[in-house]
Amino acid sequence: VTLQELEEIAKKMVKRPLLGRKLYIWLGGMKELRELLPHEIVFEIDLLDLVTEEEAISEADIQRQLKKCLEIRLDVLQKNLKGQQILLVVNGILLIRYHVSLNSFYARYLSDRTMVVIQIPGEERTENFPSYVEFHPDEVFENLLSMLPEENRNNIVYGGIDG
Amino acid sequence: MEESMGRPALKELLKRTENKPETTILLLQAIQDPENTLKTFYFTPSIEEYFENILEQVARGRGGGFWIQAEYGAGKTHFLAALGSLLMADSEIPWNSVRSDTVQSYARRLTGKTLFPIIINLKGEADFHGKDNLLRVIERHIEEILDERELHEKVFVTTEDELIEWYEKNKLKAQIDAYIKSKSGKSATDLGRQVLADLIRQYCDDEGTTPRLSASTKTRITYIYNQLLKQGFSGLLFIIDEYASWQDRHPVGTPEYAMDEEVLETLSWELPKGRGLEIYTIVASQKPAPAKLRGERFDNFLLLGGKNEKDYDVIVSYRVRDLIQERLPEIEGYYEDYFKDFKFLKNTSKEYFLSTFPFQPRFFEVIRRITARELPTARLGISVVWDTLCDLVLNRNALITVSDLMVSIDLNEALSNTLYKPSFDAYIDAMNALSDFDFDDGQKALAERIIKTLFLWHIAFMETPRPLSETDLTEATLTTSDVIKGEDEVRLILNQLRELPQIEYTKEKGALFKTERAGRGPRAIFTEIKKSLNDPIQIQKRWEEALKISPLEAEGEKSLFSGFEFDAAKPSSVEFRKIECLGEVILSHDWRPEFGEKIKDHTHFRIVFLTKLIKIDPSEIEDLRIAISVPSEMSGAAKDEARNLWTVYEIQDQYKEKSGIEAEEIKDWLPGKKREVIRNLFAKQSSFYRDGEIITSLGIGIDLKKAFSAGNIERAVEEIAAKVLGNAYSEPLVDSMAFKTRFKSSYAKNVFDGLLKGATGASASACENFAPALGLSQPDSPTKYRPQESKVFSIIETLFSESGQELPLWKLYDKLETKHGLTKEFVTLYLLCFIARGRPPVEIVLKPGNRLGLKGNKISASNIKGVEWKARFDDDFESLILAEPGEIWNNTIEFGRIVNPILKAASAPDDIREQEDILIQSLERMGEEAKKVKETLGVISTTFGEEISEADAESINFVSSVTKATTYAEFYRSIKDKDLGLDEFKNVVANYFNLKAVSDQGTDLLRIKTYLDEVVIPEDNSLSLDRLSLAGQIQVKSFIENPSHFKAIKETFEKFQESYQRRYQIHHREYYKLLKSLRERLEDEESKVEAVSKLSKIPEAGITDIEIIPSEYQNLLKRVTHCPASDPVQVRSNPFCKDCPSRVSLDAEAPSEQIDDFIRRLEKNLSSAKKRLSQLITRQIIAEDKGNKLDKLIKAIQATKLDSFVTNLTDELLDHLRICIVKANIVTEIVPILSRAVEQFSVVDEENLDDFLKAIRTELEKAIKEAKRKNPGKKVRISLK
Repeated sequence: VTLQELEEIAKKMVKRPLLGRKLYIWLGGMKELRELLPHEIVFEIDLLDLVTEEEAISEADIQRQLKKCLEIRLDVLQKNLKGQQILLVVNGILLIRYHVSLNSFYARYLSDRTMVVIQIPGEERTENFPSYVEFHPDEVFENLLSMLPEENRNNIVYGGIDG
Repeated sequence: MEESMGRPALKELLKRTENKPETTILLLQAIQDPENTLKTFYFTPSIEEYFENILEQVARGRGGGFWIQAEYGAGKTHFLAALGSLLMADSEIPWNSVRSDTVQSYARRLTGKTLFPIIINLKGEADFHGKDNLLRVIERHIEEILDERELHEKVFVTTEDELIEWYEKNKLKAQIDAYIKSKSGKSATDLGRQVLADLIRQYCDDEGTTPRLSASTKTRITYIYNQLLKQGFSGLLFIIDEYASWQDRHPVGTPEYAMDEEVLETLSWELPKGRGLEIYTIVASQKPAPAKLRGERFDNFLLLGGKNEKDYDVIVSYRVRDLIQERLPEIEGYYEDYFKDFKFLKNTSKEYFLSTFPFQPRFFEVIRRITARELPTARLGISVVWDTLCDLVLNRNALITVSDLMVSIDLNEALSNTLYKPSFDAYIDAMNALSDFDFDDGQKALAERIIKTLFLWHIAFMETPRPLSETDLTEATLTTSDVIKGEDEVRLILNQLRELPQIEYTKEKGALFKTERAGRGPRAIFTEIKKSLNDPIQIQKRWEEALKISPLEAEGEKSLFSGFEFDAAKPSSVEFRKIECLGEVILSHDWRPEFGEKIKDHTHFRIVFLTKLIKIDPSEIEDLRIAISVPSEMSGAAKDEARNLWTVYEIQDQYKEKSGIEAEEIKDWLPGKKREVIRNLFAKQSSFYRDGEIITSLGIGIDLKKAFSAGNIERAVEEIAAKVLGNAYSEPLVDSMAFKTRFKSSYAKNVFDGLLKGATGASASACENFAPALGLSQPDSPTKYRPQESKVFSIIETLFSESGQELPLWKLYDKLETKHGLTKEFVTLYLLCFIARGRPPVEIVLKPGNRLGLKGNKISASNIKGVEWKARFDDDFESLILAEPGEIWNNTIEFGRIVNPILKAASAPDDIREQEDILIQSLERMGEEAKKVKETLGVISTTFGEEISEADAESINFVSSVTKATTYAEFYRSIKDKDLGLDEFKNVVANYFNLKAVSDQGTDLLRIKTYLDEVVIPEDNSLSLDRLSLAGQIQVKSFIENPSHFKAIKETFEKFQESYQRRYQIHHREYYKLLKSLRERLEDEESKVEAVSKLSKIPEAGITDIEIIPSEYQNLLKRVTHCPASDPVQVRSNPFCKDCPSRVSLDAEAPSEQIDDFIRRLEKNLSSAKKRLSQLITRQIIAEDKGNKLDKLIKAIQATKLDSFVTNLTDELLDHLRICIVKANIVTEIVPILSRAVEQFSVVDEENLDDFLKAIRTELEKAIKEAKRKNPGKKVRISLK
């Protein structure tokens, strides 16, 4: 899927529901993504906000907490849904980092009236990471591919760099 | 599109469901909203059976596995959600939303079952290290649910043994020991296994460690199961959705595949069947279960597949619209209409039609196939169907067809974004190209429907493209036409559409959509070449050639002169005064003198058609029977079409040797174009001659418009020939107009054979049709040769006597043919009949060497029966000369076999007796039947008011008398006494059997007759004609003539009855709806009616119709009584609803006008009474009103509204008024003074005004005086009314 195609789909969502489960992975910066999506129907979740350090003492804990909090959020959003909604998942890299599958989105949120865009920083973004953080874009990409079910296998969008 | 004036629009018959169905259902959410999930779930018989199967297993507590397999969009998730809702129900409430009695019956047995639910949607599930583990996924879901239900501290997923084993082998054992010591104060070895395991679990929790444990599925699930039983659960329920997406990740042969199999087998088989655990596993997938799990491991349910394929259509219809139940009769009307006009309902039940209304069945076939493909961005199906129920479509009164799918924006978008894109682009090209065609609005709309249908059909069957035949397309687009057949209309459009690269069409193979893009098409090439072809001589030449193009060249189309060659006479036969006359027709480029020469050789006319405008001199025409047709100038349109034809031939030449895409395209396209050009050319040929003129020797007037009105040369020749022959043969010898039908030359042989050799079959009918009019037999006995006086015979006699007793026959032929217009066959027939008449006794001398083979080479009265009428046999007749003057006994068996065909010939006495017994028994039986036949026919005759004919009555009487015979001899004699031959006896018995057949149908006949007599149908209703037609056909006489006719009539009647019932049901429903509102209206007036009764006590109120109003009110109330029957009512046994208070026919109208009129009169009466009362209550009366009781009345009278006046009219008040009137001593006398004055003064003007007033005054004084005399001591008042 190209940037333009994603933009077009998102624009259509403003007007009416679109058939099927629409989950996209945005490889790129937030600024461009925010500019691209129609803000009136966009709702953002930052995965970093879902993990609280005090409670998360181990990786398994963080994984459980991240999944549970995400699911609670998704349930609330789905229950209170009016019209169409695009859920922008910020810091989607955490899903890969803590091995949380995309199942929650499919099982609890995605429908004709909803769409999910998971933001993952692009390669260029690594320069802002601390020196001890190793970023392996190929691995991320492979992981992403293995996470995506067949029907959304092509839904990876290469976005721009966050200025 | 098949739209009918009479049908209501779809929007009047159904409502689209409020919310557009979503293509994706969230399983968890749907289970959490069981009422809505179950309410919208439709149970087809097969789904009901699946549910029953699963619920029964659960009710019996046996555990098991169920595999729900279905394509994308078939409703698997909804199935799981509905099933899950029921299996997890903790009360009977969700069961109340179930729309299936069978399923609902499990409520009692299953409520109280406490299954621990594990709901898993596998879409998006994945392990990040590429090692998917289904058991791990299941465990994680169990953990989450335990957590949700706060059971995580009571039920553990991992076993004690596993934990202790892990602890024993762990590198951190010392660290764990320290933890245990700190928590329990004891060392690990001093603790029991359970406490130790709990502490290890606690350690893992605190440290955020997940122990890597490996246990078998069996161990793990059993462990969990047992713990859950202790918590009050009765078993486990696994619902696993989207299993196909999990299957996709694990190809056959991979360890994950094996793991999946192992887990599912344990859940569905080993634990429930092997260990008796109550575990239910329900899996939904697009794919079949892995091979190992098929058979007894999992009960496989194929959703909406196989024989239940049509369930899809019913479910989708159910989800997208609600039918308005009371309009069912109108919906059935749709069924009736479409059943009549189309074939697609012939193999479809009415029940299916109603369940899927308003969709045409093929609609589902297409959308389902498109939906069933899993596409990245296109999940279509039910929501697209919902889209089609838009205003544009619902405003129509026609079924929804495949092409209507294209109104869906979602569908259009899906098609433009997926693997359909190339086809979709081609479809857009094709639709855009439609504006290049010369279509009218109706044709364009049909062309669009065809392209849409073909396109959608193409993508529905992308993998195995299949064409649609003309019939299929006509049905799929529901095309009908007022002028031509729907199929012809579709063919017409297809013939043009095939010019598009996207449409491939041949009559034999049908039509197909092709994914081709637009380019420089053949149409453009044609236009270019045509521009270069301008030579008028060539154009004229093409035009003339086209006049006689053969059907082979024109591919079946017929040119005006098809079959002609230039300048060659073509034999032709026309009907002139009902006689077939032979002549010749010539097509020629130019005039030739021989065209005007006299006609010879038994030919009666010559018509010459010239191909261009030429001046002809009538004096060059020597015979009255010759006509020359000279055409008009060629019109511009004709020249253009001739030029088109030239262009077609030119392209044919130019591209003959060429190859390549363009050449192939044009070679494909050209034959169609040629057909079109030729058709257009042919259409102009008639007018070319119609606008010209006809030249004859006498300049007789011939109406060319009429001659060419049918557009074919045969008709034109007939018309022209009739005119010239009428002019030439002005004194006919034969009254041929009295022939019963047209006389063809071949019939002469039949008449001859019939009259002179014995009439049977064709000969008999030829005699009936022609012989009396020819004067050869009598009208009452047309097949018997009994010649009347004849002009032809007179001419033969005269010629014969003039010839000196030997008449060369060519002379006779020449005179009768040329002068009197008799055909050669007529002359021959008359000649032979003349011989047979024998007066004078003459015979024909035959030419030597003739082929007739008669003795003495002559035809005489004695051998005339031996003459065989052959073609041109009369060529052997030489002359006519004077001539010199030349039983089947049927035995009893022949007659007997007519009564009983099994009778055999016999010669020995015993054999004869045996046969006689059979005959007599048959006769007895027949005699008894004949009695019944007579009685039944008597009843039928009275009911139908049709008398049984004398001949029929005689047949029965004859059969009755013959069957009384007690010996075969008597039987034979009784027949012979009546002078009947075998054939005649056969006829009488055959007629009797017809009568019997009618009598056997007596009950049905009488039922139908009574029904049709009683049924009342308004004249403007289309059924009225059907009734009339049926009533006209129900004739005893015609059934007697052809008893098998009754079967067809009965079928027609049943169809009529069905249509009538539908109309009656609608009428009944609407009639009583109106009646109900009228009754309410009438009941609102009750207080006014009561007021009238009350006011009758005060004569001064002047209420009229005091007696009538209440009774009229009651009568009207009766007329608006409701019918207790529920709609739709049945009117099969008789044509009216039997529960109606009074008979309601189709033309019955509710008494709206009578009620309006009644209420108007009632109110007028009361208003007038109100006015009178206001005049009545004078000062004197008020003076008597002690206690001011009349105030209320006065206020009521002053009120504008009649209602408040009526409400205040109490009996007490009116009694009080009455007393006041009496006390006031006032008497009101009614004297019609004004009407008397009107009698005297019809007009008043200035001059007689005083006289008028004076007269009034005198009358008034007289009236007062008279009133006083009548009422001594009273105060009198005169009412002028």
